[in-house]
Amino acid sequence: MNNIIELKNIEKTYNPGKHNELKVLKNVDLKIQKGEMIALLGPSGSGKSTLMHIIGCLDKPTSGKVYIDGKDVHKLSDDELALIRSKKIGFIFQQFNLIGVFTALENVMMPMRLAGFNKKEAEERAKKLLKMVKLGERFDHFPRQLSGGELQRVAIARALVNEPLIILADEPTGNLDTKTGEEIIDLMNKLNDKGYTFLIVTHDRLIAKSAKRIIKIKDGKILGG
Amino acid sequence: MNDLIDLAIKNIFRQKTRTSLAIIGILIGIGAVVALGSISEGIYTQITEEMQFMAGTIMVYSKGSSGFMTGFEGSEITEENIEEFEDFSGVKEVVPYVMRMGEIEIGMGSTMLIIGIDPEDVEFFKSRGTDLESGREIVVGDTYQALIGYTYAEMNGLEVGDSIELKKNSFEVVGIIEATDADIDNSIIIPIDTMMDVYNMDNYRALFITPEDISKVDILADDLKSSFDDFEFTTTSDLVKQMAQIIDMIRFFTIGISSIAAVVGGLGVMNTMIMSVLERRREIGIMKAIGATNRYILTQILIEAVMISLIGGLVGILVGSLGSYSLRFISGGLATAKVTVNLAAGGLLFAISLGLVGGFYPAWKAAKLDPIEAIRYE
Repeated sequence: MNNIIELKNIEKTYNPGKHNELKVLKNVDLKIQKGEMIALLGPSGSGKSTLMHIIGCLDKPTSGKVYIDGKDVHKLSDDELALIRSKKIGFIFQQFNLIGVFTALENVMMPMRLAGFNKKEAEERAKKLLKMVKLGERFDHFPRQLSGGELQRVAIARALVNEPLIILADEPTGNLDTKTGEEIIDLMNKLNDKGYTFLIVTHDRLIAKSAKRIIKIKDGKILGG
Repeated sequence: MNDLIDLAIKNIFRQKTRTSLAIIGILIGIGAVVALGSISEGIYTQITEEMQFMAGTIMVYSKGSSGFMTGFEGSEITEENIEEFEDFSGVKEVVPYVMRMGEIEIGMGSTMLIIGIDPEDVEFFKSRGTDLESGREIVVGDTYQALIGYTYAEMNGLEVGDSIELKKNSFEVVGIIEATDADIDNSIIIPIDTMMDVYNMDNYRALFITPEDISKVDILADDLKSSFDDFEFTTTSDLVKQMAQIIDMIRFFTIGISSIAAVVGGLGVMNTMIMSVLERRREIGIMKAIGATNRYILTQILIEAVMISLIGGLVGILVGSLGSYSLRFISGGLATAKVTVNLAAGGLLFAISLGLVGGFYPAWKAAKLDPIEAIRYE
């Protein structure tokens, strides 16, 4: 099996051993294969964000193993994890989270620059991606000059720029109106058809409906999938 | 690295007022270091030039008179004394020298030194770095002819052929001495006999004795000291020792005190960067999430801090130099303030290190931010 992400027996506990100890994830096992489109569903406080952060190397589990592309990331330093984030993971956030002082083009280039590509390479690829998400006319616009749907499309282009193994999306349609949300879902489905792997944390029924696989999480435990 | 500098420029212009205030803080500090530091550097340069002027000679003046810097007020040396010195073993040449502070009766009334020399000894003075900017030297037979220093000529708009008045006597300016940074810049040099006439002086004020063997100048000075009780015999090395102490003290006060202002400026940079990091927490979190390493964030904030202090430092050096220049101008050229390359470079290095030190704490805090928490921050 070609697992790009594998979680083995993941536990995450905040404030272990203290009176306010909180077990967020319990015995989580998860395998993700290339090309999947997964919706991660669960009520708030179920641990779905924490799970996504662990997959995205933003957080470390209290115990258990995380394999990204077959590599155990447990022993990696902060800076090595940062490199994995830039090269193997693409993030899409509910709040878009673009850098305000950068233009659309510069925002998309940033992960490539952080991964060590030169400016010319980064610019070429970022332009190509922005054209693909239909923002070919918006290269030099700053985030404050763009609409919500446009911002999220810039964010998607940014998430794709380093050809990541997986794209992690946290409520990508949560801040958009229904129509714009549908456009974003449509875009993600098209990208999935091209071979990109998505893990989407969402409440959006439309996303859940179009996902090929649904993982439900409750009280830190995976229920199905 | 280009990205980092580009990003730093973008970021420091986001909060223009706050950045400007931090820059002004550094500017005042470094400006004060440069302006006040230029006073001690000016005095140092002047003294070094003067040392060169009398290198290898022994300066002679009466005990109890005022010293070198104040025109040997009260010093009396007679013709007989000169003959005694000339006969002393090891002495090659005795050059008499009269100097006094004077007020000129016309013109701008700036203070200057009036120096009397024997036209026969003009070579002695010429060989010690007093080349002419224009005109000619004083020669044997001159009486009411004068050489004037560069600053003095500038300040009073004098040229060769003009005349100046000393004690109601008119002197013709025959030459202007090139700029030296020493007292001579602000001097009028006239034939010694004329000077003694005009100022009713019976005796000389000071002498230069040159030894037959320059390498034995200190030994000759000691010999002279043990033979003549009424006179001071000072060599360059004696003066250097005396002056070094005074200069060190001036340096300590000028640069030391102004450094405190600069350190306060550094605290301003730290404060600005702490605020800036706090406001940009979310952005820093995003950068980390998309792959920025801790070191990248640390470097980014440090570059911003150094950029602020560098701008402050550069403008501070400029403002300090203007301050130093106006000090020289206001004092009529008498106060010597000089912005040396070392002082400017030192000021710049100081500014950069203030940025590094002041920026380190906020940069370290930014680098250590937890991206998950920082992204949640509104």
